[in-house]
Amino acid sequence: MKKYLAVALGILTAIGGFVDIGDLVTNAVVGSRFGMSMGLVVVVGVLGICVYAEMSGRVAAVSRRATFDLVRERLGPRLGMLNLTASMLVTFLTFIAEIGGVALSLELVSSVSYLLLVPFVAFVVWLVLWRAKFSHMENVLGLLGLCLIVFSVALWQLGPDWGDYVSQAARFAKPGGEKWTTWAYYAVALFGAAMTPYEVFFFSSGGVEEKWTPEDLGVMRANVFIGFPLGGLLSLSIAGVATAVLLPQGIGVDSLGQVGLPVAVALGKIGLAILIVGFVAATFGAACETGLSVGYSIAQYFGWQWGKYVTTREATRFHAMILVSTLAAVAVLLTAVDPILVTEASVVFSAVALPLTYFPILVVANDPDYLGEYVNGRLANGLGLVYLVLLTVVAVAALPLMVITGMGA
Amino acid sequence: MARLHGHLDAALHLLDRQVVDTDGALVGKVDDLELTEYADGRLEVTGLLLGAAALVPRMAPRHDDHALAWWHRLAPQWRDRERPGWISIEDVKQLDSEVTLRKRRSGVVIPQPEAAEGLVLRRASTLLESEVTGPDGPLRERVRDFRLEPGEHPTVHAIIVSRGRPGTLMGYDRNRVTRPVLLAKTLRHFNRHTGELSLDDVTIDWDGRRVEARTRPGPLTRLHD
Repeated sequence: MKKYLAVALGILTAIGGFVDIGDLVTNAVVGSRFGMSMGLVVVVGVLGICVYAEMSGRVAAVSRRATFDLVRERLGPRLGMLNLTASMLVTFLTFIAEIGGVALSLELVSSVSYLLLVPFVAFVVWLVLWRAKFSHMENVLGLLGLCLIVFSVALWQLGPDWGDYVSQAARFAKPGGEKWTTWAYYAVALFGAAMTPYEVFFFSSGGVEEKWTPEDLGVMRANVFIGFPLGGLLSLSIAGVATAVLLPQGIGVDSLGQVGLPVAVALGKIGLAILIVGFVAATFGAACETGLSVGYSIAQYFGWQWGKYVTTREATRFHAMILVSTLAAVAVLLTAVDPILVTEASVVFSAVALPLTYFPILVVANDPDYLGEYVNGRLANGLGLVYLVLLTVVAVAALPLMVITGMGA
Repeated sequence: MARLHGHLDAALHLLDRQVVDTDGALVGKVDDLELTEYADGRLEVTGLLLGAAALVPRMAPRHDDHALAWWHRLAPQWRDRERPGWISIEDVKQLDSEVTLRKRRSGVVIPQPEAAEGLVLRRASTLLESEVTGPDGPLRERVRDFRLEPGEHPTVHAIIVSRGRPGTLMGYDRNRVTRPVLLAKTLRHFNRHTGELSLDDVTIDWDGRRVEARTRPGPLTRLHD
């Protein structure tokens, strides 16, 4: 019974933890401009993060090595350092966006400018990372993140023409006024939002934190293969409600309020209240995950003691990194840079950075020295190769598309 | 997989691995290896080197002296800033996906001791990236790795050379990793010139960063566990 509860809890937190500021903003923007024509991109992205997370989770459970251990071992110190720098810049950008997202969510309730809320939010994030137990943090924020299911409820209430939605997705039915380059740019962004690199840094390091062993592989796979796709359905719901409400009215999304507008239309005040709890929990949870990921990755590269499974006194440099990056994130946000713009940039750069860590993990997942009998099977390798090619194409295309389209303007 | 007592390739299996203490607490990375050179030319791995003084030179393998000098200039008031941290190879209990020590971590890393009389201390990173000269002149290959014979003191018995294509640290060219087949074939193709030279057939010019081989590199032998 206890095991089933653990599995259920894992799946629920995987769903609640799946959506972050990148998914919220990008799905809403895409829905409001392109309808459901990118539905398949989300599906491909979610399958990709499942493949990637399952491999790195398995490596973590069997060999107790997290992502940046492997990056340095397989790429050497120099290429590893370049990789670390690029991946950390992207993760830091995401961290900034998440803290900004929490502040914007609280602004919706309090009408206090988000700029005044940023230092407060960052302090609470740091406090949680400093004091809270890993499992408490993950479970509480993951479960509260489930409030975002209001997107799915709202979609059901709005009662769109489901057949039309499926047909738009299947035909890549781009609205006539948009160019294909812009469509491709947002497809890359959506892909980057679904497959954000920090999710895997956090997932594999979390596996080490929670002392997974090969016996936990079943639970890990249930979290990944049930929790992530259900989280992906939430992403699709966000695009779905935007398609139903914002697209016909020609309303563009450039604030978090507009992301939530369709829910208010469909469900009224109660829906909005639950939605804001979901916004805060999802962005706060992701802020914790990205903040930890910065500390995890740098410590793993240099071999420092890391993790919340030891006391803060035993992992001082790891916690120092978290503190420094939190302060830096506040400094960036207080320049009054638009957090939504940071979010949009972070998902595109995520797509650029993905192959850097994906490739070493794919190699190690095939190495019997690390995994013994648990090396990749045919399916994992088949999908692994397909995604290696896909991720490379997306990464190469991302920046030219960004320039050509002027960030999708 | 107590590999330290089986055949292993230094760069592939030992360098950059996580070092953990007897309780599983994290100690650091194997930033470099200390090789002791005996008068008869024998090369033994005698210690793990840790810390910035070991890692910084590896960031610029062909200009490691400059890198170390730069590291010294950052804080010239510190004596022995170029001296890395050291853990005796005798304190290593096991090597699998991590290097496990026999001791607790507190105080386990000490400044690298001076060499005993008649011996010379070298670093693995000096040998790696060295140029290779064959019987007929310079080769396009460079040193990528070296093979260690098992025993209480792992001894270098062969040098692996290749032409600097990517993927020499992936394990595909050593026939250890064979999947995904497409990736394995591609990386093996890139590394098709990877070869092995017995230590008996080479003279190492440490200061000139050059390995002079008396034979052409032979094919890689398979590693045994």
